[in-house]
Parts: sequence; structure tokens; C-alpha cells
Amino acid sequence: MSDGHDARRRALMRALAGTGLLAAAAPMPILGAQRGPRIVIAGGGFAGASCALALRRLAPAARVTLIDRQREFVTGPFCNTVVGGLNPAAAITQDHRGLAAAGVDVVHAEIEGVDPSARAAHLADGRRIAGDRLVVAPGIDFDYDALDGYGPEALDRVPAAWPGGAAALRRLHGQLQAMPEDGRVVLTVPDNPYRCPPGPYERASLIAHFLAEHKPRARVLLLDAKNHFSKEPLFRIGWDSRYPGRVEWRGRDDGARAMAIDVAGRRVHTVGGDEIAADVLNVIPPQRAGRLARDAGLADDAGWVPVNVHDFAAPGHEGVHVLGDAIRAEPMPKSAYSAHMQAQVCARAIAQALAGEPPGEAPLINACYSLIAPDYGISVTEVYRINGDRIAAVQQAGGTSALAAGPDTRRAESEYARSLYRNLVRDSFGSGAAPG
Amino acid sequence: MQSRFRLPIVLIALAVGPAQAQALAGTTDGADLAAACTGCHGPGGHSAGAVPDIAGMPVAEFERRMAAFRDGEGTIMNRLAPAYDAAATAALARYFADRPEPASP
Ligand SMILES: Cc1cc2nc3c(=O)[nH]c(=O)nc-3n(C[C@H](O)[C@H](O)[C@H](O)COP(=O)(O)OP(=O)(O)OC[C@H]3O[C@@H](n4cnc5c(N)ncnc54)[C@H](O)[C@@H]3O)c2cc1C
Ligand code: HEC
Repeated sequence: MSDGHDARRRALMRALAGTGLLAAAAPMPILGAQRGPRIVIAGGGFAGASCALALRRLAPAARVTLIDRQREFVTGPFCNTVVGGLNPAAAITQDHRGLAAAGVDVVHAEIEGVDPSARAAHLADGRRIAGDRLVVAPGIDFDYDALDGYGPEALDRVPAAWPGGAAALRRLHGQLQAMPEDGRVVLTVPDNPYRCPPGPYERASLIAHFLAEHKPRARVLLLDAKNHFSKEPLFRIGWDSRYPGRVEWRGRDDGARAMAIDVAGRRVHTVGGDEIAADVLNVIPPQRAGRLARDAGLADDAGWVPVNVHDFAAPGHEGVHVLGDAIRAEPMPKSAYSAHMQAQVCARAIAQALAGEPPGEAPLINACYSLIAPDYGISVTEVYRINGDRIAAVQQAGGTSALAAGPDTRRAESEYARSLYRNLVRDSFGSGAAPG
Repeated sequence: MQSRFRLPIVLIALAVGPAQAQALAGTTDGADLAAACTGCHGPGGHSAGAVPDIAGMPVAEFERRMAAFRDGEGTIMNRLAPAYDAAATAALARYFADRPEPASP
């Protein structure tokens, strides 16, 4: 590449101009919102919103614009309590008003696409919003190609509700209410990676809780593409003690992986050749990064976005960062806590680059509580360090709740789960609704 | 391709010089460290609900509690505290001690 040096120099000048470093020789007044560097955030879920809020705190001179199609949205966390009928959807419905109050420019619009080379978002209404940095946080899309017979048109009859929206969660709960007294609920669970590894098992638990109260002879069957699952020993202990005989799990070695869905007949065809009929069928489809990231060429062949773990930058795309469920951040799971954590690291790295400060590196945490019943919580947590170009779990920390813990601990962890929800929402969106 | 890939490194080197390697060894910046805690404990350590409020907690008490967690106390802190050495714990203690009490609950 003969022009490599020049191109690099031009790009560097551009980047420095964008960060305000070129002008740093002259003392600079605190820049008004119009003059400072601009950061454009595409997607305002836990990842994008947390990044916006952290940037307002860490880089107050920067103008932060966050774009999302949804004015109000239900959260993944605690959506299983809506499926199980423990909470109304309103209790987990959040918005971006807290971000606006913190000085984020919030734009509610459909994003047609993002352009990494221009660090710009193209909106469906024709607007184009460009910045010095672009943060892409679109969450996941379902990979409908991976499951024969299942597609967007099937969602009414056979919901995914992952979390979908308030209507999808209510529909699934309504199907539970309407099913026969001795009916069978079937959940299909995809292979890793997917959004919220313990989510399907928490959902099975809270469905079993609903059935135990309202349909005493009904059962739940999980058809899993995996042989093991998150917090498995804890879920099994909880199911045995709270829902004996009601929850059945079949895994990959049982041939349970879903191959095709008969939507009209509410049947699952498994890899093992079984045809399994359901009264209520909840398909959790295989997933990949949200379309925005894939269309922009940020994803790998498997559909997930690789990132530089120091600042969650997309390698080869200067000034572009990708966060949350859309990325490969193994061994961090795809969770709201992880998305929020990655956003803190990314916002700090952007603020430090803008200020010309050295990057610091702090441990990362993920924590996920699951409810087996309203008074029965379990948890998994890890602490991570950046080790070269990888995220590595700290050996002497992390793990799941004690297998032998008594009812007081389970109850305490259910209270902590509700508290974490409220605190994580406040630390991500600046304000929010709270479930009971 | 290669030149674009390298750019961030050039940029950082220009901006910060040799301080980088030292900083990468592990930060003792309280705010950076606390960003991993506030998802559970709430913004600035101001918690809503059962997770304890740690905003404004005196440094000595904070360090005593973290030591107890390293010794196995707690439902979840016993799985987190062992990852934080004395220097990181002290920085966290100072950070949360400095958070003001909430204006409104
Ligand atoms: C059943 C279930 C239970 C869960 N429980 C937990 C839990 O207990 N704890 C936990 O930590 N996590 C939990 N999660 C996981 C959590 O929901 C996700 O990890 C988290 O939402 C990821 O955040 P994100 O910002 O990456 O994606 P999202 O929250 O999905 O946000 C992406 C945003 O981008 C917007 N967007 C995408 N494309 C466009 C476009 N083209 N135009 C405009 N806007 C766009 C969307 O509207 C959305 O608001 C659970 C998930 C489920 C399904
Ligand atoms: C997953 C949620 C979670 C995370 C993450 C978390 N904590 Fe905690 N913290 C708790 C809970 C729950 C308790 C109560 C003790 C227990 O059961 O472990 C607690 C208790 C504490 C206490 C004692 C408070 C008191 O009044 O006794 C301190 C101090 C503390 N945490 C500090 C931290 C620090 C520092 C971090 C980040 C490095 C952190 N916590 C991360 C959930 C969390």
C-alpha cells in the first residue's frame, strides 16, 4: 500500500480534529453542546443507554445523541415474571426520559443503517446523523433460517417473547391461562450463544409456578439444543423442591434439539425424530447480532461482532464501537449486566481518548439472578480481567449460589434480584419503573 | 486495511506517551473500579431495595466488610470480593465514602 502512510496521516488528523486534540494547545472553554465532539449511539437498550449516561458524566463537553425506534420498551430482565403472571408489563416498561434529563439528545426513529466509515446513522425518515464516534448497540435478531417452518408470521400463534414486547409477553401469559388443565407447555431452547443463558430455565420455573397454582395437572417440557445449561444444578434442585415432576428437560444427547416447527399444529420436530405436541409452544429461536451491525459489515460469518476488548472498538473501523448482546465478548454472557458493564468501559475509553488521558483498566463484573419462584432466587457472577486481547474470568472469584443454601438465602437472593433490577435500570436509563 | 487497523494505537501513543503500559497493569481509579459495582448497588452506591446502600459508607467500615466477604460472608459478595486486592479495595472505599447521601430517596 504505497499511500498507506498518507492515508494514515489524514485519518489521524481527522481523528484528532474530532477529539479536539489538535486545538488543545490553546486553552479551551467548556464547549457548548454544539461545539464539542459528537458521539452517535445507535440503539438505546441497556448497552446504548448506559453508554450515553456514562458519557454525559465522563465527557460532559461531548454531545451525545442516542437513536432508538422504541419510545417505551419492556426489558428482558424480569420479563419472565410477566409471562408467569407475577407482574404487569407496565412494571418492566422503561423509557429514555432519564437520559434526556441527563442531557442526552434522544431521537426516536427507525435506523435504516449505520455507515462505519462516516460514523453515521441513516434514519428511515431520511435524516443522517454523523459523529466523531459511532456506538452501535442493536441487540439481537432471530435467525429464522435456522429453524424450518418458523418465521415472523408465526409469532402470534407460537410466541418467542424474548422479550418481544408487552403484547408478546401478555399473549404468552394469555395462552397459559387458556390452556387445558392437564396441558403441556413446550419451550425450545437454542444452542449457545444466545441472549440470557439462564433465561429459558427461569421462564420454565415461573411457568411451572403459574401452573402449580392454576393448572395443577399441567407440565413444562424444555427441548434443549445443549447438553448442559447455566446454573443447571441449582435449577434442578429448585425444580425438585418446588415443582416435583412438573418440569422435564431433554438435551442434545436425547435428540431434543428443535429442527422444524409445525406452527398450525403446535408441534416440534426434533433432531432425534420425535414429533412433540404442545398446548402452549414457546420457541426461543437461534440468534445473531442485530441487523444494523450485520448490514454494516461488522459481524463475522457466524453473525456476531468481534471487538477490541480494551474499548469495545470494532477492529478496522476507526471511531466505531459495538456493545451488548450483538458482540462476541466470551466468556461474558449476553446479559443486561454485561451490556451495562461493557458500556461503562467503552464510555470511559472514549472519554479518556477525548481528554488525552491514559487508558486505565479495571475489572469487569457480570451478575445474573434468576427466580425459581417469587421467594426463591439463585445467582451466578464472575469477575473478569483483560488479559492481552482477551477477557478472562478471575480464577479466585465468581461462581453460583451455594447448592446447599437454605430457604433464608433463597429468599434473600430473590429480594436482591428485585433490587438489582431497580438499580441496574437506574444506572442504565437514569430512572425507571420497578417490578414487585 | 493494516494501516487503519493500527491507527488507534498510534493515536493513543501520541496522546498519552509511555504512561500507557503502566496504567494497563491495573487501575486504582475509584470511579473506574466502581463502575462494576453500581449495576447492583445503584448509581453512586445509592441502592433502591434490598441490596445495601453503600454511598457515604465510612472507609474503615467498608474495608472491614470487604475483608469479611473475602472470608466467606455474604450471599454474593463472597464471590466478588476475592478479586479485589488491598489497593483496589481502598480506592473503592474512598470512592463510595465520597458519594454524598442521596438528595431524595
Ligand atoms: C427472558 C429474558 C430474561 C432476561 N433476564 C436477564 C436478567 O435477569 N439479567 C440480565 O442482566 N439480563 C437479562 N436478560 C438479557 C438482556 O435483556 C439483554 O442482555 C440486554 O437487553 C442486552 O442489551 P442490548 O442493549 O445489547 O440490547 P437491547 O436491550 O435489545 O437494545 C437494543 C436496542 O436497539 C434498538 N434498535 C435495534 N435496531 C434498531 C433500528 N434499526 N432502529 C432503531 N432502533 C433499533 C432496539 O429498539 C433496542 O431498544 C434477559 C433476556 C431475556 C429475553
Ligand atoms: C450482584 C450484585 C452485586 C454486585 C455486582 C456488587 N455487590 Fe456489594 N453487595 C451485594 C449484596 C447482595 C450485598 C449484601 C451481602 C451479600 O449477601 O453478599 C452486598 C454488600 C456489600 C457491602 C456491605 C454493605 C453493608 O452495609 O454491609 C459492600 C461494602 C459492598 N457490597 C461493596 C461492593 C463493591 C465494592 C462492589 C464492586 C466491586 C460490589 N459490592 C458489587 C450485591 C452486589
